[in-house]
Amino acid sequence: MTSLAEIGFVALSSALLAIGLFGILTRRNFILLLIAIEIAMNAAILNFIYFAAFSSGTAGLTGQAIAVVVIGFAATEVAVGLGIVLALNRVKGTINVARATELKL
Amino acid sequence: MILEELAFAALAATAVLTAIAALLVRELVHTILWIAIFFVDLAAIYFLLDAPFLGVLQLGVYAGAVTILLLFGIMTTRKRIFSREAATGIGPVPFGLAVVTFIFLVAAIGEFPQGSGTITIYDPSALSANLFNVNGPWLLLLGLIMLAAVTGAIYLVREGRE
Amino acid sequence: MVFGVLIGAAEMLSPGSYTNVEYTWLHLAPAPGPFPNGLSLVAGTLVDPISALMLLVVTIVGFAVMLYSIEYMHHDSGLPRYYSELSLFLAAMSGLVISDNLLEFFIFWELVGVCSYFLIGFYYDKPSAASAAKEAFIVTRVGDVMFLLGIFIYFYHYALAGPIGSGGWAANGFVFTRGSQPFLASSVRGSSTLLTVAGIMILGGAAGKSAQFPLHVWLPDAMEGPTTVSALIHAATMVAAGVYLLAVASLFLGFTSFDLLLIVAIGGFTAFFAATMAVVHPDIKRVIAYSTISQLGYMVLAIGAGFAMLGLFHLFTHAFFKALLFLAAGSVIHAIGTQDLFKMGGLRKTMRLTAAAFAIGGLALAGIPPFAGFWSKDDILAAVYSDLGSHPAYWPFFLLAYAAVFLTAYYIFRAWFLAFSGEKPRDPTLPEAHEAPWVMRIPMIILSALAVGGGLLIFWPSFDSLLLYGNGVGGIPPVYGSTEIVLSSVSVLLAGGGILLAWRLWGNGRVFVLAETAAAQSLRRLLLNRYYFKVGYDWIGLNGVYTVARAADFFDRYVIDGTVHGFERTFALLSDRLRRIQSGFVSDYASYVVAGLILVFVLLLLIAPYLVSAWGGI
Repeated sequence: MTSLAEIGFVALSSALLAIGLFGILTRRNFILLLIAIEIAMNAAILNFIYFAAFSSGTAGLTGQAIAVVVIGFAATEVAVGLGIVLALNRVKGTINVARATELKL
Repeated sequence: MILEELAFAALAATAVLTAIAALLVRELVHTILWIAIFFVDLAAIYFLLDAPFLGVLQLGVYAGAVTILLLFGIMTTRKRIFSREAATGIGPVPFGLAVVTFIFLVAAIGEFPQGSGTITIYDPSALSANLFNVNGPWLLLLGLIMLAAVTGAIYLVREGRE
Repeated sequence: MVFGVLIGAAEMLSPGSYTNVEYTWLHLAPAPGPFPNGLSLVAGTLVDPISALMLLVVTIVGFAVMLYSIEYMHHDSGLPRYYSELSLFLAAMSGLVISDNLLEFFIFWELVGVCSYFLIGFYYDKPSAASAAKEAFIVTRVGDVMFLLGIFIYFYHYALAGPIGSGGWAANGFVFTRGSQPFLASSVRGSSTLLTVAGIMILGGAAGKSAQFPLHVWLPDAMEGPTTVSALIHAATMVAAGVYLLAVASLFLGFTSFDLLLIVAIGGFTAFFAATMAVVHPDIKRVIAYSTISQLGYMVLAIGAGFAMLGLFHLFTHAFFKALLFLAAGSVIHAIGTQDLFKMGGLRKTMRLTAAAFAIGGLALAGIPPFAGFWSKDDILAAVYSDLGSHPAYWPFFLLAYAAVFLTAYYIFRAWFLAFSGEKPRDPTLPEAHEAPWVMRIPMIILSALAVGGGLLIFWPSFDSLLLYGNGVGGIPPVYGSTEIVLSSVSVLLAGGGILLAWRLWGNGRVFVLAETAAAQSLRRLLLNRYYFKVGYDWIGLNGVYTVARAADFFDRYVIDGTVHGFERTFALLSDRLRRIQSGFVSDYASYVVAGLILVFVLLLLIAPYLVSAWGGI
């Protein structure tokens, strides 16, 4: 791989992170929020795998191991998020987080 | 090499576009569709990086389980699956923040140590050895935490059903 | 009351004895400073000739007033309040006269003041009464502050002085006496500027309490209280406290010569000044009130001239006939429900006892022998006269006091003739007068007897020797010789002239109409308006104090409050802005997190390296 790919991978993960971030900040639907978080997480996983691929030995292995763990995390997180979605839906009758403003003073 | 680069460019572009599309379409089920494509796309990139194990994991967990879970969430919270989401503006501040973050991260590229240029292929058994032998205790700890989280999620869903 | 009389009588039977019981309630260990031998504060009772004299006055007059009040106040709904305040008033006064040190004295002094405030404002739903009560309290407060300052100066100055025990006055609780020695006045009478100031302060306190010029304004207004309260205030309690203070101070602490001159001046001047105001006033109670101020002037004059015991003797006799006058006036008011002399008339026929009592009081006040006032007042005048040789500066005030004798006789009999002589009331709408019931008559009879015979007590050797107390300090009353007899005759003649003039002008239902000349009318207005003192004080109050208060208010409102409110508004504004941050939207909070993250990036990656390179490491 050349430097183009080097730039490309980092740029891709950065872009994905930015998109995820943007989604987190703007979306009002809780499921969309979850999706945005997934996008941002995938950006992180991509980074781990990319750098693992261009490393070697234990360091690279650890990178991939972390990627595995993060994927597992993501699954858990979605499960928890879904639990929250259901609870929110039950309490508020909607999953629009703009309606859940109990944090407001 | 060229082929790989072209493949990467195509996959990267697809990833970005599907991610944006997933967030911007107003039909929630379409969002799921786009995000499924996004996950598969990323799995392809992992394959491209010669990490087939992770690619398969991505396909199984993300493209499979997570997508189904999200779809399930939509189905349980909507009366009609195909209903449009109210439009939400892009918002200059979040957009600006996202852009600034992006610029920061891209600007950091120069700071990275130069890679060897060759892709290392890891044996899944070595990976599992690393995961379960070297980092076993940590994995156990993380597993416990995740267990707690999942338990919490089950409790959240269960509550109020009595 | 019985107890007080017993103590007083016992003291009289064994002149010059002292009984002192004290209890130390605070002792400060010796320490460097103004009290190197330590400082004791004691509460004690001291019975010596002067407090015995005062106890007699307070208890007898207090008893008479209490008895009288049963009938006079029976229709009033605030009776329990009235009696509890009256009792406190008397208790405070009794405590005051038997205090054995200035601090305890001051505590009771304040109690007396606050009780007078309560009682003058007894009809507190009447605005004039409420404001009169406030006036009395505030005016005497001016004196109280001065008195307290005076106490401090004396404490400071005499901390180590005195023949008492060891360690000086402060270490022994500032008590007045110990053993048979009158304390400071004889041993350490000083003449420093500090002592002069202290004396002026004490004088100020006494002037406030005893309504001496220029703090006299509150006393006539104090007539807003029930008549019984007026009787008590004027005879035995409130105003007597000031005179008693002066007497005690002159006997135990001593005044400098300047202070003495000042006291004489104020006393003599007040005696005349107050008498002039009484001449024209139409209100029966206020006429008596002015006469009180005037008589208090005599007492102050006597004390200033160095005859403290004579001053107290006059206080003693005055208490009886003044209480009598007030009770008689109260009886009139009780009967016909007005205080306006020009509406009365002919009451002599229906109220024989009251008329007689008022006449006795008037004769005693005017100084006609053998009534009580004659003995004490002429004693004072004779004593001051005998002192004129050594103090020529006293002359004008002696003459003023002498002239006041004439005015006194005139105004009190003007009141008598207006109220009691003639055929029938001038105002026909007045209800039919009737004599007071027995409960009110008995006190008047007792007091009449004392007003007649109280002065004759000086022919009783024990009592007379009481008056010699403080010899060498308080001055020796003159022995009656031909000069004194001439002096007395002149004063009796003056008083008789005054009565005669009153008869000519007002007697038998006559009403004297002042010539319509401008000068006469303006003089009358001046007197009626009390020399515009109240107006002046109001002016001072309004323009001086109010301006200061306004300035303070302005400062408080705009500078202090402004600062506070400025802070408050700034933070309110800020927090209102900040509040919007707490929108409750999860996404907004996420935005802040991201913004903070970016800030950390900026600091860490951009600014920190710059700083490191600029300063060469941290």
